[in-house]
Amino acid sequence: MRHTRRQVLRFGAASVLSALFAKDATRARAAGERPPRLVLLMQANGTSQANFWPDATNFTSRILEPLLSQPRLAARTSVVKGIFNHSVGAGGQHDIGFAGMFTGRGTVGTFTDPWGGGPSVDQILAPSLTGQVPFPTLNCGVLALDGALFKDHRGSFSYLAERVPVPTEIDPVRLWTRLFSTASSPAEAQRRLLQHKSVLDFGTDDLARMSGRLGREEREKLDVHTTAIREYEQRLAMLAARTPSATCAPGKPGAIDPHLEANVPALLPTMLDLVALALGCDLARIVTFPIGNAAVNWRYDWLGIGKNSHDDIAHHDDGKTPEITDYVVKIGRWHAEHVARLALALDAIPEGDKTVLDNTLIVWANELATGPHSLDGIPVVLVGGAGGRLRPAGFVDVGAQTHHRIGCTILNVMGTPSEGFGEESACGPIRGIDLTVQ
Amino acid sequence: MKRLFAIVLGCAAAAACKEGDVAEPTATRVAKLCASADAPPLTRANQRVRRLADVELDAVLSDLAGEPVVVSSSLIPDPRADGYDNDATALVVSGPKLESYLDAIEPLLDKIVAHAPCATRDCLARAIAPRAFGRPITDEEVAKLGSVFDAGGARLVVEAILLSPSTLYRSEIGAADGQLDDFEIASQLSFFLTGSRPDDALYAAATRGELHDPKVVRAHAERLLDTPRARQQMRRFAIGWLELGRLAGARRGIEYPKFTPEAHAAMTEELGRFVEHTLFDGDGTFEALLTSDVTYPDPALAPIYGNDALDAPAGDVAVRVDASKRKGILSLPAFLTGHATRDGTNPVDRGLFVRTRLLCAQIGPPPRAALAMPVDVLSDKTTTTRQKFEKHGTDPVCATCHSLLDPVGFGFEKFDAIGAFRDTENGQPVDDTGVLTDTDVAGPFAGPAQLADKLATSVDAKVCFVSQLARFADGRAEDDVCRFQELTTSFSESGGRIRDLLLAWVTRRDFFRRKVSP
Repeated sequence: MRHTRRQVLRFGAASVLSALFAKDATRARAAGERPPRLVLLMQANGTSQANFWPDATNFTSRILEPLLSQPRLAARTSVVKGIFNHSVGAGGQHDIGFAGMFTGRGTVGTFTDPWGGGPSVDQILAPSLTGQVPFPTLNCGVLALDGALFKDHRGSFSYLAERVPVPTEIDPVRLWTRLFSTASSPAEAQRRLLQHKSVLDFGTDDLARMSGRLGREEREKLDVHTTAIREYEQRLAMLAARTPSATCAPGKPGAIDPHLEANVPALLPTMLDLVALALGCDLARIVTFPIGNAAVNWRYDWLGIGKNSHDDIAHHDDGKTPEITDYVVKIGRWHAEHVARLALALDAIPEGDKTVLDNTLIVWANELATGPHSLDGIPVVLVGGAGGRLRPAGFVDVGAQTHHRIGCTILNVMGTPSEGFGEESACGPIRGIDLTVQ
Repeated sequence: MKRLFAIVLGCAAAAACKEGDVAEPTATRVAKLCASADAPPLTRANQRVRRLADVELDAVLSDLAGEPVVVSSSLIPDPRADGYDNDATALVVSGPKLESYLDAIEPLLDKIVAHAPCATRDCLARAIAPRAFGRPITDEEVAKLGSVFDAGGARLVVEAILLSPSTLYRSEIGAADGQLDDFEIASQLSFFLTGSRPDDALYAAATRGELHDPKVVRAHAERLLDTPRARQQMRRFAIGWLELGRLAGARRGIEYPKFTPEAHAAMTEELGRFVEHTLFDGDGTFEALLTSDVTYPDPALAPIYGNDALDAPAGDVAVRVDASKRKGILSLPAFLTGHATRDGTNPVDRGLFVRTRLLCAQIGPPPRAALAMPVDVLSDKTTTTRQKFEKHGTDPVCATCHSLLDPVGFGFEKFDAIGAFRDTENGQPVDDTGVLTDTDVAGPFAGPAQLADKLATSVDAKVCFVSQLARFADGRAEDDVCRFQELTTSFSESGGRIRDLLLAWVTRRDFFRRKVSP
């Protein structure tokens, strides 16, 4: 059986939810509140367990120090210890961890060709956001590989449906063009809307005709197309009606080869800054962001490491080789610095009497727990006020809990209460994290 | 190298790599399976639509524009599934894809209007749509496109047609009983053999209702196989089969000065020429693909070939290679580079390729709780790659899996990460003896040329090749090997002629119908 986002929010359910959402959003605006934003960041290759988890009294650690040394961020952070992923699936642990974390499902396919087993949480939420914001979801990241992607299943953890990943935008210029160029100006949006309306209507009719002659699974594939058309039209309509603001018209980033590893130090902050603006300008609500592909093998020359981070570092981090562990710590700190950068950028954008960070939940996850492929004790860090729907907990050892609870927590924070997630129908949110509704 | 470590970890599971106690040769396993009560139900593809791969859209648009146009490079790329660019499930029109269609197609509209035989209201739609859709346009569609014309003129009509699902997908829906109609059969045939919509002759045959006759289909297939696009299509199949979609992004460090941008580009071109000439101008056999002793390298590859090339590389000209070292497709720099890393060779990856894509052996998944086995850091400059990897063989836990993989990959060790021959590595002599096990051509060999000789006579390898071709033709991974037994038999009996295999594929009963699905 295939799992798609339409199956989750099927037919009537989807429109009912979306109506509820619209009402919720109206109420929130009236009360001066803003809708919650969500960012899912994925790091590869696990971490050093001994150096990641904070000291409970001082709330800091070697790896997390760049994030937790910022008082405004530390006050809005939960470091959640105890998450495991025991899903069964195709491929190796990298694949199961990468594609499974936010789908809550084991991978499907074969050992050499494993794919996500169902829709990821961002895509499950997407239909309910259609019509509220120009880009309900964005999937972008840094996949500079200095080589071809070994297997395409390792470049995206956002899934529309089983075996159908959302493509990851890796070029900052293209991302900027999509979000901020004249293509998004009200006049241009209006022009495109007028021009494309009849074109797309013709296509929608054709899709309906085809769908009517197909079985359920095939119809779901065409549903993706129909949804894409509807979302595009609604986006143009929204952009056409927007008042342009100087803050939300950043300059075009310089062209940079998104495939070259040497460019990672420039690519990552550029992409994260665009993400922060997209959220701050309410162009997008949910962002999924791979920091490198699954099992990324960057050499981190910019950190003075110069070794293959997957082959020669992560895999050898047995906890008994200080030289190797030091590399893992450096890499972890570098990730923490960038998570902090994103959080601070969001915190710099005021929203009512709060900041965008107050209304955002950043989930910084990892495909693995440790370099040698353990999936027990996956590092999970939650940053941001989540619109007051999640109480920051500092360091919290929640005991062994399945990763499905993260997806379930996200669904609850984003306003679609759910008892389960993915293949777990009744796991509930993470125990030990206080979900509050203000 | 990523795959290497997936396997390294997999080694911790005794027997995880073998399905059962003994790994059986593929042909034996398939024959047993299909004769048993556990035989999988014969599952032809469902009634479905398949979105065009980007290169297929290029071909359709080029026909409409009357000149070669390329939109594929500006579209959001699709994931390759199992190495292939045309997986029926993976290809969808997501939001980003839709937007990239809109942006990429807009600059072509004027060109296509200009190339149309007429640009007036209904005439334009009637001229262009059938070529884009691969079927006649209905009166209702003409009327709708008339309104589009009234709203925005000829350009907009073309845009509506090009972005229409009837253009972007190929229909395999058929009648209520799953029987495909003539136009669907025509498109299926032309997309399989030429990567595009039907040409005029095939379209006309569909109009006349002739395509339910396998003999007529076969005649058209023979004709299409003589076109340049059929050659391109087999190049494309080879890229998928050899998992070389990744080659374009290959990078090498300064320790590989021969890996110039020109040499890099020339590798892919050489592979393409090799496939074309071997299949269309030479024997056209599976054996020739594996064991041919000529190839077609550009001068840019001369430094990599060195003395292995017995004639001077000169582009699209046959060059003999030293057959004691190199033979066929597995000795091409494209293959050897695509199955290596930026730092060195990867015996596990090369071995895994031979196992899974040339012999279709089933490799089980690694265990969840496996831990990495310590291996030497690969940058160690005192040992050979083989010496580093041989630890797998001495550790009984690792050996369970790696005994199937590494000894095959070791056989390629005299070819470095860019496909150049080497006798020594880090000052040590290179040992390229290898062993194949659990297959009908089990036994020792040294170097890819001897391996190729073995594989060329293997029934397992032919069974596997048929299933790879089916994967490409059908765009799906379902393991329905039992349906291919007959094809495999006729393929073997024809002496492994690939043209015969293609013709057999398009005249099978299942080519004409789809499974009715709820």
